[in-house]
Amino acid sequence: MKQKKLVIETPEKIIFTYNIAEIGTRIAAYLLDIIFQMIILISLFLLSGLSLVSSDIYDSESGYYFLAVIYILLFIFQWGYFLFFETILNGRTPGKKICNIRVIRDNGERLDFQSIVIRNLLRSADSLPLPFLNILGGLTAVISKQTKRLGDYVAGTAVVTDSLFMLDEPDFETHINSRENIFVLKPYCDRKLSEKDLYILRKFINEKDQMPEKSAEKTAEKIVEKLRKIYDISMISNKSDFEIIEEIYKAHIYENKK
Amino acid sequence: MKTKSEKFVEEKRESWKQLLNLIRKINKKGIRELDNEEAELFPRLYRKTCQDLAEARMLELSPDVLEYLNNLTGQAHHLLYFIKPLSRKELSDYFMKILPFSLVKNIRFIVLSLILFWGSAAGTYLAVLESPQFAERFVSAQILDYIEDMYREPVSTGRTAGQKAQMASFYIQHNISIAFLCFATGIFLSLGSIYFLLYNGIFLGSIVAYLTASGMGPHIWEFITAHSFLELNAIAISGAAGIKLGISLLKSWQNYSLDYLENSKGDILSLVSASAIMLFFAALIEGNVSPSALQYQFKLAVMFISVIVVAFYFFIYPFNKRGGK
Repeated sequence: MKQKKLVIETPEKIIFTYNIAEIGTRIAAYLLDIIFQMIILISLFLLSGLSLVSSDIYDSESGYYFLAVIYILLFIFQWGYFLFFETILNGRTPGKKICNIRVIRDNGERLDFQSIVIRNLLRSADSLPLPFLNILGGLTAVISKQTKRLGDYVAGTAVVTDSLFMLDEPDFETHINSRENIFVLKPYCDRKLSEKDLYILRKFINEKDQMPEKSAEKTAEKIVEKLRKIYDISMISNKSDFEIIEEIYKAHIYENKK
Repeated sequence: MKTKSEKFVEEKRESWKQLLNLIRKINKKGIRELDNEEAELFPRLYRKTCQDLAEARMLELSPDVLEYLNNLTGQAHHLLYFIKPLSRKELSDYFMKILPFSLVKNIRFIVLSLILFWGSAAGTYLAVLESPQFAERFVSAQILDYIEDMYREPVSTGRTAGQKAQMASFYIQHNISIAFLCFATGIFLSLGSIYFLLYNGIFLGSIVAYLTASGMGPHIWEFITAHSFLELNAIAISGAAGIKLGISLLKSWQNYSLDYLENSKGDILSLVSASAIMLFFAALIEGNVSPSALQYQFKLAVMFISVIVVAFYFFIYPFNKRGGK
């Protein structure tokens, strides 16, 4: 599936593109959050229940108080868990943090408490027709261009990928060492390739060994076809597509080194 | 020779690395853990990197450079603009200047919702009083039997404090969740909220009329008197919030602009909070006062007090405040 993008413009007029979180990732984060809630609730029950085990929990004065606490806890967890964490963790819950996703405003503004409350109140509509399963919200997200459930639409929020793994500094190294043929090709490099073209060449040179042979050949063919439109490569036409790509990249990189 | 992109990266990579390190640190420890120097450096580096991003876009540099800068500044952006914690002043302003005005400001939705709810309740009440078997059309015979059993005796059955606490917290959880659902289903072009208002009104009307017809009127009236004003009107208010949500959505669609929705978010939330707060107190009353052996006059007094408090906070106070300006 193609990566969905969210383009926002901040109030300072800076444009960012975010990667919309995949629906599978969101489901995983949701399940993790549900599990965390259950763990906390069950451990609370066990802790408070231990002293009540001897007496009959459901028909004693302390038993009634115990149930009173349970109802309140259920209420707090049902409505408060996501609200609390998305507020203090700035758009994340423990589950979202593990899954590297984050809630943001889709208009570029600062995430605010109001939007968080709205998107979480709407959970009760998203979870129709069966509680906790988020069937309707899931369907809406699948149809939606930006994987939004109903709560996201109303609150004006989107869930995006937010991971330090996305922060690898660009690497300009290639695996070409030989400088053969550079000077032969030099005259053909007068019309320069754009930075984007060079990126495509570099990426292909670095990744072709990891690609399946067939698709590497096909990609090379396409690239050479484009190069043919820019250069007269008859001089090296006896070479394979892979070699042509490497030669031309080299000629660019080592152009002025005489 | 190095490409333009490579030169650009070599020239600026140091400050990007600094920014990345700060992002790492904030992700790990939170923004409050930065020392003064770093706290000052972070926004500066962010702005500088934003400039680099703009420049790189203009120069049409290599896509991996653009993506790197986009991700770097994008992540820094939501760390820098984190949710503002509510100050005490904002909180008190909310309860003094925003929440009390919410009902008057949205009075059309409130009136519509009250008419739907109380109208359906009164209509069903009269119809069922006329012919009690009519109630079975709306409420299953099982539930009717169950409720009949519940109110056969007067409600003041001497519950213990623990039982009262249990019931009160059950009502908090149950009723507020229902109000939230009644609000949230307003997203279906208000229809969900309207359905819940009518459904609750009809249910209430049939049960009260059915019990009255079977001679248990005094028992049910004694039970619901103290909390009903707060509880039932609170449900109507959450319904009003839902109707407003649906209407704003519709307007947003008609005008191809989400501004309508965005601008009504505050009002909608205030209505929902008003409803939740009323339901919280209603639950305390329903758990502790309504089933108690206290005299009927006392329960009546509780109801009057809640009427006065609501009238003052949501109507008299905002009108005076507005007139005073």
